[in-house]
Amino acid sequence: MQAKKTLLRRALEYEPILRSERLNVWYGRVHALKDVDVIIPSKRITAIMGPSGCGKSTLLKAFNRLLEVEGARIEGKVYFRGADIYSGSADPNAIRRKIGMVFQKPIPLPMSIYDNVAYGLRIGGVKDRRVLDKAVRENLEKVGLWEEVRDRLRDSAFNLSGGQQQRLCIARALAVEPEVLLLDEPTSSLDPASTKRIEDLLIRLSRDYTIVVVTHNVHQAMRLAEHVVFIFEGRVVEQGEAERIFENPKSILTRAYIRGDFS
Amino acid sequence: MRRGSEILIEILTWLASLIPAILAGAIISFLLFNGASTISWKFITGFPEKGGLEGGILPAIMGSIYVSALCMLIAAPIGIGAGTYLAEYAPENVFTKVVRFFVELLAGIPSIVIGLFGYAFLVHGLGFSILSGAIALAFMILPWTVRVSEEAIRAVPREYRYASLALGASKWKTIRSVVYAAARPAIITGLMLGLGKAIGETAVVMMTAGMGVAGYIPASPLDPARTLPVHLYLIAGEIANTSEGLRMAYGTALVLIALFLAVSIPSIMLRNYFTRRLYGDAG
Amino acid sequence: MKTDDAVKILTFLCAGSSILVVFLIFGYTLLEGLPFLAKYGLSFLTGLYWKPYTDPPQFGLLPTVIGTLSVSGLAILLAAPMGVLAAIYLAEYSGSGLLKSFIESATQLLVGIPSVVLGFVGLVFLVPILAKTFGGWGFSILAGGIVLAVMTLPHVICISSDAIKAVPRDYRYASLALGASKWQTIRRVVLPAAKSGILASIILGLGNAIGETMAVLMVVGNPEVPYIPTSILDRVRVLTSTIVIEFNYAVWGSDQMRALFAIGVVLFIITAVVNLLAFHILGGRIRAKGI
Repeated sequence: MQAKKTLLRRALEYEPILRSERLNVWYGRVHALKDVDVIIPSKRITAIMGPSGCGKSTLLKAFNRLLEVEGARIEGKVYFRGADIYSGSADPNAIRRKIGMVFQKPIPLPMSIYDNVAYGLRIGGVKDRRVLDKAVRENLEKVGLWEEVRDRLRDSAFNLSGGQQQRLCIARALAVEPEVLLLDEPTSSLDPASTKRIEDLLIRLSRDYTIVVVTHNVHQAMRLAEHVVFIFEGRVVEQGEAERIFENPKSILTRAYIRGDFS
Repeated sequence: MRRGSEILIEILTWLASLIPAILAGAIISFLLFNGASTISWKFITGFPEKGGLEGGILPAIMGSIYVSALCMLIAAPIGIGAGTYLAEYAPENVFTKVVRFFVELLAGIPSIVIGLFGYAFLVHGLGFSILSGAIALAFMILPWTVRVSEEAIRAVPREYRYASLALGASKWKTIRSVVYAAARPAIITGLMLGLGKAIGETAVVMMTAGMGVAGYIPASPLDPARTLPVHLYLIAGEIANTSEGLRMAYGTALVLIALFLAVSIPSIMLRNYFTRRLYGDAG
Repeated sequence: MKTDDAVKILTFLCAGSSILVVFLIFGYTLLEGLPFLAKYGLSFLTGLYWKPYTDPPQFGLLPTVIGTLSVSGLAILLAAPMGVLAAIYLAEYSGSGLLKSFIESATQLLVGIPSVVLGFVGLVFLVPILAKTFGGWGFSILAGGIVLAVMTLPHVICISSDAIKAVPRDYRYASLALGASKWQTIRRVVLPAAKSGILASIILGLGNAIGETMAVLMVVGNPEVPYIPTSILDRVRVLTSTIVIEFNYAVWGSDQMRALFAIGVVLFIITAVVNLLAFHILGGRIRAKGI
C-alpha cells in the first residue's frame, strides 16, 4: 500500500535523519553488532528485519541510548541530524525525548490512562492543567484511542486490552513530540485485528514522524516499509528502498529470508 | 542544571547507605579500643572474683556455648523440616498461607514475651537450666531457621529434581541426595547466622537459664547457666560505676562481639558471594 | 512410597510446629495474665501510677505506654528517612560491586548485632555525652530513641530495598525512553510502585522497636515511679524494660507477677497486629534476607 513515486522524487526526498557509522556493540563477550552502517530516512517507515537474535533490537536501542542502560559496550557513532548522540556533551534524556521508543510488550506505567500520556510532559516541567488536558486528548486522538477511553481517563491503564495498551504507549511517546519513533516488534504480542489497527496508525503517522520498526515478520515489513534494513548475525546484509529489495534483492541471504527459508 | 541535582541525590543516598557500615565499624572499634586491655588468657579461662570485679568470665563463655549449641540442635532440624515441607510439599492453599503467617508472627514476638513464657512453661518443670534456656531460645530462632531453609531449598534449580526423578529416584531420595546437597551451603550459612542471633540473645536466656551459680561451670543440662550477654548486662547494671567493673564489662562485651562476628561475618560474606553468583547484581 | 508419605507427614508437623508454638506462648502468657486482667480490668492500661509495693498496689500503665510510644516513635522518625534513602541507593545506583557488597554485608551485620552490646555502648558512650550536652541524667527518651534507631535502621533498609528491587525493570525502561532522568524515574515511577513494601518496612520497624528489650532498658532511665514524660530528655520506662526490672523482684503467683504477664499479653497483641498489617501489605511473602 505504498504510494508510487517517480524515481527522481524519491531520491530527492531521501534525507537521512539518523545514521550510524561503524557501530559495534558488545554484551559482555558477545559481539552483537558488527560494523553497522545504516541510514534512516526522514519521515518514512523504515523496517529493520532479520531472523531472531540477529541484533535488530540492539540496533534500535542504540538509536535512543537505551542500550547503555542495559550495560552494553558501544563503539562507533550514531548521528542524529548530523550530531553524534554518543558524544560526551550529549544529554541522553534530551535525545530520548527527540527519539521515542515503543516496546514489544506494551508497558503501561502503573498509573491512570491520563497520567500515562501526561507523564512525558510532566517530566519536562509542564504543570498547566489545560496544556496537559489538550495534549492528552490530541495524542489519544492521534492513535484512535480517544473515543474509547474518554470516559475513563482516570482508570488504571492496566484495564485496557493489549492492543489498546500498545496504542496508549504510542500516544504516550508522541506526547513528548519526538521526531523519530522507534518501535520494537510492536505487534508481535497482539492479535491480528489490533495488529492491523497499529499498522494503519503507523502509516498515518509516517507523514509527520520518522518511523523505524523492528519486525521479524517479512509480510509486515512488506506492508509497511518504504525503506528496509536487513540484518543477519549482527551485520547489515542489505539496505535500501523497500520496493527494490523485495523485488530484486542483491544478496542470496536476503532472497532466502524473504522467501521464508528461515526466520 | 538538572544534572547537578541528579548528582546531589546520588551522593545523598550514597551517604545514607554508608551509615550502617559506619555504625557497625564505630561500635566494634569502640569496644576494641576500650576492651582490648582486659583480654588475657586469665580473663578467658578464669572465674569471676570479688563479685565479678576481677578475674575471668569462663563460666559465662561456657554457658553461652552450651545454651546456644543445644538451642541449634533443637531449632535446626525442626526448621529444616518445616522449610522442606514449605518448599517441596506444601500446596499453595489457605493452610500454607496460615503456616507462613504464623512463622512471621512468631518472628515478631518480642523476646521478653518468649522469656516470660519460658519462665512460666519451662522453669517450673525444668528449673532455671541450660535445657530451659535452649528450648526457649529455640522458639525464638525457629522462624529464622524455617525461612532460611525454605529459601535455600527453593533456590535449587528445578532441573536437578527432574533429572533425579527421571532416573527413577523417589521424591524423598531426591530431596535427600540432590536437593539437600545443593542447598547445603545456603542452609549452613543461614543456620550460622541464626547461631549468631542465639549467642547475642539476653532477655529470653536470663529468664529461663537463670544467672548461673557463682563460680561454677554448669555440668549438666539441668544446671542453671549464665551466658555472656546476661553476664554483660548484670555487670553493666550493677557495678559499671567502678573502674574495675567497667573494665570487666568492656572485656565481656568484646568477647561477646568477637564470638558474634566470628560466626556471622563468614556466613554473611559467603551468602552474599553465593547470591551474587546465582543472580548477578540484580539479587 | 511409604517413606515419602512418612517424610511428608514429618515435615508437615515441623511446619505446623510454629503454629503450635505461637499458641503455646500466647496461651501461657494469657493464662498467667488473665487473672490479673480479671481483677484489675483493662483500666490498668489507663492508670497513672505504677506502685507495685504499696498496699494496695497500683498498676497503672499509662506512663509506661507513653514511654514506649515516644521512644519507638522517635526511633522510627530517625531511622525511616535514612533507611529509605539508603535503600534507594542500594537498589537503584549500581556503583562498584565491591563497595556495594561491603555496604550490604555491613547492613546485615548491624541487623544481628546483640542488643545488649548496643545497650552497653549506649550506656557508656551515649548517655554521658547526652548528660554533658543537655544536663540532667543522660538517660532519656532521646538516648532510647537513638539506640533503637540504630537497631531499626538495617531492618528498614533491607525490606525497603527488596521492595524497590522488586519493581519490574520494564517500568524504568519505559520512563527513561520518554526522556525522564534517573531521579525522575525513581521519584515518579519506582517509589510509588514500591510504596507498600516501604510502608511495610516502616511498620515492621516500629513493631520491632516496641518489642525491643535490652538495648532500650540500659539507656532509658527506668525511674522507680514512672511519670508521664514532658520532654525527650525525661527518663521513662517502657513496657519491655518494666518486665525485666520487676521480674527479679516479683513473687510467683502474686499480682505483680501477673501484672508482668499482662504486659506481655499487651506486647504480644501489639506486635501481632503490626505483623498482620505488614504481612497483609506484603501479600503474604516471607522475607529471608537477613531479618
